[in-house]
Amino acid sequence: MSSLRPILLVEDNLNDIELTLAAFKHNRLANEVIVARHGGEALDYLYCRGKYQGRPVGHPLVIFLDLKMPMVDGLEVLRTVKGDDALKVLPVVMLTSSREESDLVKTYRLGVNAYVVKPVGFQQFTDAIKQLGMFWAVINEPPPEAIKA
Amino acid sequence: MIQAWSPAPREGESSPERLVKACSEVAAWVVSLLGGFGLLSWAIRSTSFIVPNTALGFLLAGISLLLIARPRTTGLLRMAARLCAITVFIIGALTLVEYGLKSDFGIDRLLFEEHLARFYPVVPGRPALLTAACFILGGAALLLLELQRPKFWLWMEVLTATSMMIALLALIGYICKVPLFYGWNSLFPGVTMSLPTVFGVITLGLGILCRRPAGGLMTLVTSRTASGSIARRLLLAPVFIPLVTGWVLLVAREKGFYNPEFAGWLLSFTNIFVFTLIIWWNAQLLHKAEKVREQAEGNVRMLNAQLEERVAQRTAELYQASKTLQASEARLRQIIDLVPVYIFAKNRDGLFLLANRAIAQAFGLRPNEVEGKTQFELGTKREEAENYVQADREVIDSGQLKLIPQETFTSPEGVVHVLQTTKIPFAASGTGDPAVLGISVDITDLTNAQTQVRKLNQELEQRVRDRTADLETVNKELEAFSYSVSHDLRGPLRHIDGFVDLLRQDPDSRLSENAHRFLSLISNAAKQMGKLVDDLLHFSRTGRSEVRRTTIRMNDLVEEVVRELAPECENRVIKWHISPLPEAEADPALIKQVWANLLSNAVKYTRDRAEAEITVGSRRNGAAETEFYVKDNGAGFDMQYAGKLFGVFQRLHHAEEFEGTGIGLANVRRIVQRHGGRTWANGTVGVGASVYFTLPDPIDP
Repeated sequence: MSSLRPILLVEDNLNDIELTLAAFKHNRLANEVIVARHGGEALDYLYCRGKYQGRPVGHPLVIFLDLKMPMVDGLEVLRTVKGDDALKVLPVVMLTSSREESDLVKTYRLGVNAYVVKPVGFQQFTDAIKQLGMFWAVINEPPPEAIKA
Repeated sequence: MIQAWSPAPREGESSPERLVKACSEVAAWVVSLLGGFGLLSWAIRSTSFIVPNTALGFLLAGISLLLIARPRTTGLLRMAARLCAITVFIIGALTLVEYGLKSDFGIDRLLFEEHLARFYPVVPGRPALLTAACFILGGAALLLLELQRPKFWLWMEVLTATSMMIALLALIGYICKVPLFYGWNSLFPGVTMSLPTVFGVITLGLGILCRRPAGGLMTLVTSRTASGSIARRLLLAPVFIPLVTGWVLLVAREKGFYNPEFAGWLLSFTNIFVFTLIIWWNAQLLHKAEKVREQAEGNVRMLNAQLEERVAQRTAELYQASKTLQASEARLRQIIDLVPVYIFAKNRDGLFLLANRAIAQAFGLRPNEVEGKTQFELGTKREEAENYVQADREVIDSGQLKLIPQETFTSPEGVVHVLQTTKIPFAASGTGDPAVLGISVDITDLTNAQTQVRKLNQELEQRVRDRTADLETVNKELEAFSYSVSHDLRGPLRHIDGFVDLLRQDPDSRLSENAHRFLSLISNAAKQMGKLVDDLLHFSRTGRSEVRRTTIRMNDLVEEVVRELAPECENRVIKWHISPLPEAEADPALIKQVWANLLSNAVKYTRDRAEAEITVGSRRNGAAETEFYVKDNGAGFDMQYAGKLFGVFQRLHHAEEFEGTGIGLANVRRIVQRHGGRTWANGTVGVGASVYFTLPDPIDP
């Protein structure tokens, strides 16, 4: 049942989007992937506003969040999500190129659920996406729908 | 008054004096007994050797003298003594008046009248004229003696001597048969001065004279001097010699031994002979005495000379001592004046007891112009002077030393000096008055220098703050830069690799074998560059991260690293020689990186060896540091390039021989340097390499 819930990918770089989607596809993850090109779009989706006004009700299974984005960056999104009682139960996984300690510290402070540095090698990246998808979409039990209300 | 002439033996009364006094008492007794026996004889035998009045006179005179002679005579007894003396005088005077008026008052027969008639038909019982005169003289003398007035004493002695002369004349008359001398009574022949009377008068006279041995006529006789001696010897000679010789010659002539001419000549000769002898004897005595005196004088002169010599010597010594003292004082004064520090002493009133040249010059004066003046008189600024005086009082009153770390002194020219002063309480020598000794050091230059240093320090601190701020800015920029590198540089690489991979896996693409090889090379290159970027970021982080020191067990760290290297050691023969290593005070994470770099290098560069040997050890270095090293028998390196070994991106091997980015040893050097240590390496191509690093010893807290 949970597998049917979509995954929210927040990523500004088209190459990264394509590679990530390729990796999802490669690993045959059935969940719909909603791509937000920046933080603002992601928040629009989460709050069903802007171009996502009137979308089907329901929260994503997991949010894959890039850090460095134009306009609203990953930290801002994370802060908003974890600061909202309705949203803070959503698992957020940082998927980023940064290995900077400060970024790790900041995100964990804000309550991130996982932090993944994108490996340079595509094979490793695919493996990482596979494991992430497996964990969040299959292994992990998401919070019950009742909570989101 | 009594004490003035008291007969009691006084302290220091000489023995001749005592003897003479005893004589006086004996004489008094003799005279009293004479009179007493005379009267007793009349009473018992109805006759006597003297007339009753004479006997009565002697008795009273004797009693009077006895009373006077007694020590501590009371007022009553003195009155009695006076009464007796007056009575004696009256007896003599009345008798004399009877003789003069040729009348008879009847006083001569007041006693024993019935017996007297038988012996003295004409003038019965009247004492002789001379006797009466002697009684007047004697009574008067006794009275004067008893009155105890020194001004009467000469008179007393003259009276006594006169009476004795009269008696002596009578005695000579008896001896030489000259009745005129004893019977001077042609008016009333038959009434002569009897021999006992003569004896009594002389005895009484002696008794009176002897009463005052230390004064008057007896002084000379009782004196211990040669003159006294001579007086004692000669005094009787003029009396007794002519008396004896006269009497002897008289007797001999009467017996018809020689004629009168011869007698005259013999008398003269005898007198000449005897007096010559006596004079000779006495002259000799004087001569001896004079000799003794001369000798004594000589001695005295000698002693005087010696004394003078000693006085002169002592004076010279004192002079020398005073000169030495003066020199010593001058030297001390010189030293005090030479010291370039203010030295002064003040009493409680603030008066300068001492001022050395330095302080005097500060006042623009000479030391002697300062001494004896107060602080206020020297033109010191009012509040400064008050501060000084207050501190002085405090020190004097408390008796405690006081250190004034800083006080100001404004010179008469208006220059402000900063002084450091010590004030010590003491008692001024000589008077012992409380005083204060002060020692002031001019620390103006020092305080100026301190102020300068403080100012420079502040400037320096400001510069450090500015520089730090600059550096922080630069560091932030660098951080932003490395962040960008990390994020933006790795992205494209990942994309290249990703798309290459997708291309290779795309079943629709028909790629040649060669194309597949190229794609593989592109992928490797991208991965290699990704690794470079990662290492570079790591290196940059190493330089920025904080060093957190704790005590590290080096052997544990090394073993941990070796364990982690296990995957790379698979299918390898490696001999590890790990010595016991000392503990170190360092950041465990960073030092672990050091070991990881060094050991992984050793494993990497020995992989061509059939049997690799890797040695880990340490050595105490004298200069408070410990040296650690890793030795291998691997590929080694050319010492020519030893300097490049620890540089960033510096490699001494080709990538196809030994993979790597050239960051590892640069990281090692950076970490070791951040711990205050050094790094270096030795190597020989094909033989092996040794890499060394040092860590400073832990500083005891």
